[in-house]
Amino acid sequence: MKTFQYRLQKKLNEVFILAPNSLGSPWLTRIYHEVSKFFKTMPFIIIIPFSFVASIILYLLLGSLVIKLVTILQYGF
Amino acid sequence: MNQINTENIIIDILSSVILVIRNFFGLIFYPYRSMRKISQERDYGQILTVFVLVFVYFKFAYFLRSDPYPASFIFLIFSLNLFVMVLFFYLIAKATKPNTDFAPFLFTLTYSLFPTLLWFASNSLLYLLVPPPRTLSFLGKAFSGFYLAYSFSLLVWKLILVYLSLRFSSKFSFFRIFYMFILFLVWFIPYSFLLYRLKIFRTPFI
Repeated sequence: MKTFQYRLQKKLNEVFILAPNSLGSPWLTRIYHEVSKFFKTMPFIIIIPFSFVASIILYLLLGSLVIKLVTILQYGF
Repeated sequence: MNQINTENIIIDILSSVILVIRNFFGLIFYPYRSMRKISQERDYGQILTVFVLVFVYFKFAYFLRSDPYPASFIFLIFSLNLFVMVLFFYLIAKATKPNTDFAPFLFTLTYSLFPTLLWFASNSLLYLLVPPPRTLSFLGKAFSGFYLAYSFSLLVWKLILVYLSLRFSSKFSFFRIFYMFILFLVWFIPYSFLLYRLKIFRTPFI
């Protein structure tokens, strides 16, 4: 029982290490919490499709400049 | 007695390596929870493990770069960069909250190097397998699209990890972290440009 209490206390201390984020106005705070929940667990479920869409948009906007950008980036290590 | 000491050191190193691997996967699947745990870490063997990984990468990149500085020199510059960055964020947080601890900054910002390391390592491999320049052919365009999406997703992951690092280390709110990051960029962008001009880093390794 004592071990359980200790572990529970430890977990609670860990979880409540931070005060909830407040952005000043209630609707901004709500938007922040709505958006940030997607990035807390398995963020790549959102990030990967978003990145593909972003790269397609970038290609449509910049055309062959994207190819040059990739060439520069490939030399960038 | 000596054998026991050696065994202890080996066990410590192995456990640090296992923890680094576990935290690495944790940062992919559960970045928030993992970064919260990392901010409470005090096992410096994990920092050492990440540093060894970075050094191995620099050794590998040394053979690919056309105008190379020795890998140990690049590693020294990288260590200095990281230390200055950690110190910068720590001092800003300390100025507002005097009871701020240094170790969470060191651990979380070191772990936030994973997307950088992954991008640099994969970029070097791709440089070997699919050497630039890219062309306007269908395959060239397809590869460029894939590469851009891949780089962009790692950049977003990196930004998430840096934000969580600063959030758990400084315990600041969103806007304070944002302002702190802008302040960081004010000196870091010209500094990166200097490193680029000196041909030390083409892309900042941070």
